[in-house]
Amino acid sequence: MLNKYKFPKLSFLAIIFSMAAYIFLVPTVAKAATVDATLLFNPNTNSTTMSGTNVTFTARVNPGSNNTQGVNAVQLDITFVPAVVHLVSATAAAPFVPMSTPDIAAANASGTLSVPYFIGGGQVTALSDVATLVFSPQGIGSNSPIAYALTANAAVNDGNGTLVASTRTGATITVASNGSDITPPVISAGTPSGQLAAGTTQQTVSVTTDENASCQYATTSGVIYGDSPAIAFTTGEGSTAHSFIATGLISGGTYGYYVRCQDVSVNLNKDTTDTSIAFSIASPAVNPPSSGSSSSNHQSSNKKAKTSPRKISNSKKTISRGSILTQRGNKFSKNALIWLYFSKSNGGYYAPQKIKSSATGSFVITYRVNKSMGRYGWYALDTKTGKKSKSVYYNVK
Amino acid sequence: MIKLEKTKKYLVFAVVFVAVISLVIFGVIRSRRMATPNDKTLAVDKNLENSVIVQTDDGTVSKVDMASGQVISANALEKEDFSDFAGLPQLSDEQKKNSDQSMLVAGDKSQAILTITLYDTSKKPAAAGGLPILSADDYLCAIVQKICQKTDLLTKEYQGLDAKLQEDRNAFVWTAWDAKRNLLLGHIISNEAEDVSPMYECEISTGSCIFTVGYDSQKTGNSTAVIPTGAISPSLEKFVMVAQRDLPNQETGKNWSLLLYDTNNLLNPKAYDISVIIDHDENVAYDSVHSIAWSADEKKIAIGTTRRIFMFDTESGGLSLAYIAPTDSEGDFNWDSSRLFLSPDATAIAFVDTKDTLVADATPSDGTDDNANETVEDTDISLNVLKKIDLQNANKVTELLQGEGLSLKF
Repeated sequence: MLNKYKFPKLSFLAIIFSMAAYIFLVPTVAKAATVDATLLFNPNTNSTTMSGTNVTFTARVNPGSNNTQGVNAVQLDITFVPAVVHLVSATAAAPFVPMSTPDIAAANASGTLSVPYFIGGGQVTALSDVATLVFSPQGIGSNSPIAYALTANAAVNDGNGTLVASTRTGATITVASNGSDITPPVISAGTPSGQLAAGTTQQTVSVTTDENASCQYATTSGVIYGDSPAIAFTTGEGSTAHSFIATGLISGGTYGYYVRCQDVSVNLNKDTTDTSIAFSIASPAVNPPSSGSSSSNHQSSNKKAKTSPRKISNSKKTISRGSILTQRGNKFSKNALIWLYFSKSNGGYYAPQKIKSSATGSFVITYRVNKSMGRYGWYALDTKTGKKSKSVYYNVK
Repeated sequence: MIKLEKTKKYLVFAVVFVAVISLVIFGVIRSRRMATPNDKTLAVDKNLENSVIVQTDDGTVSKVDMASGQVISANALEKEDFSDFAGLPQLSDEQKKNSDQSMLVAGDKSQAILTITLYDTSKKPAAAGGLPILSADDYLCAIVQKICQKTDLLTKEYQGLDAKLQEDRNAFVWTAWDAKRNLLLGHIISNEAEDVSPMYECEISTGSCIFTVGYDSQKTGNSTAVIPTGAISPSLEKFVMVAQRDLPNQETGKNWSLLLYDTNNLLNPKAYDISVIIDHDENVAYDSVHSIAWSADEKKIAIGTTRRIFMFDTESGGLSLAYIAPTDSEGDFNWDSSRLFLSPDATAIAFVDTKDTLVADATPSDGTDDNANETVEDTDISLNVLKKIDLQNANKVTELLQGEGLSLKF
């Protein structure tokens, strides 16, 4: 009897085991998720007020909460501005070791350092240091602090030999003057100027300095040398004649460039007025594209009302919350200040928004409507005449 | 006989054993498939359609093929139709009428966060105004699986983002979600209800944010950069801000810089001087960049300003004029500069223009100039038209579709 029922019992147990395994194992395995390792600098900002005083950053990796295997390798790619800070050393933090010796000289020439760090036969499962980076600020002959970005990209190995995550982080180094004398290069002879012929699409822009220097330009004034969005001149690095080619010029356009230079002693003329270079391209008549259609072509509608002064309108009658509404007005005083009153969700109006009308007395604004569902109105007040428009409404749905 | 019995037993045991192992293996394989994103949905981004989505005042959503001008069906996601998704609250008809939903779709379109807001209709405002909010809940929805669950991705605390700012829907908005990299992008809404800097980039897993620097609209003395609609690229790896150095709505800036950011490095955007596109025409009281549209390869950008559309090449920095909105006899122009569409291959631009503004049931003008006490309201009906610029055919403009309150939908 026992033998008769013993084997079916075994089968039954096997089936139960398989069901249990399916129920419990599937959710466990299904938890496989994206590796969320992150890289960060400690500190994420640093500053020094003395030229030559080193600043130290530690690159750290956090394996993250999903990464149960831990991290055993980090590919670190650092970028910095060698003209302002030099890399002194890059030292691995145990248990990480570098797979190749960091080439400090090459890093200071290029402003980039790329080193793979790994752990032989192990991994880290908690926030850990990867490497300590020491930077030495270069002599800055300026009275104003200059902030530079230090950035790093890291590819992280999840412990199973798979490069799974690429994280990036940034830090800033602020370098202030040590009060040394400022003898910046003098910039002159900026060209071109005036109006260039229509159809000009590119032009060489050049300046001269009274001593060997490196020059950068920006399209807005007040940009500190070495800061974004300043761009280096393509020729003349370390000499007295500097130039670049401005491209993408279009007829009718006006162009301005603001130049600053730094001599080989790293003295900047950053505290003086930018040297500006301005020119324009003559414009042929710009023809609107051929089209049979015309906006505001008042035709064919029997419902059209007679025009009235101070007319305003919405681009849509009904709008979803969060969408952009375009609102217009015309027949207001020309070149005048117009106050727009928008209704609130709970009644009443917001303080007026001030806009300016054109030479024809019209205006247009765009407006992100983040209001609750409901009906909202607005009207415009012509401050020159003191007269209001009618109110127009839109629905938020 | 005994041997045969034994053999039978072993056979049965072997079959059961194999069945057990198969079941376990099947379970493992199935679970791995659930954990791994569907590669087909990730491929969608690389095959962007050459069609533009539009919406009219009555809520109808359509898709227009740019090449043929044919109207084709929009899919459920494009229509924001989640009616057959499981896990969403079951609303009564009355509740549906008094609720709205907004959507944040993941870049790969595999998921969406749906915000459902219920309003309190017991306190309807007398004339104009909004309904008080009863509840606003976010739901994370898997598009293919059609299933949703409540989520706090948008409302949880993010280090680096002020909690009060995050809560205030009139001051902060989430604009993009990169589900692959687990990133959310959001920005400020100014007092003038414009989208402005800084742009925040928040890592969902670490709950921390970084943001663009140098154009912090919340700091006195900082200049503001506008964030036009469409600023974020299709891959979500880049975005654009424009520093205009102006007095919003009153004085056009003299220098405009287009700042092209890489979301992997917010510290060093590429800056392009686009001052040449500033409109100095007296018919334009205030010029600004309102909209951006990207090509699929993210090398070409269409830029919509108050009255014009330009094409910009991010590799060469080259700018070219594509369109100027024509003015009528009164010097007015009416194109909707708030949205632009650029075909994936950068050969055509779509935008909406106003064909006519109809005023229904308006009181005719009595000839007087004084309407200070006017109580009659105007309910505008804007007859808009979808237009296409053929960039490969001398920027020729053609009309594709018209409708009341027609607008581009993104």
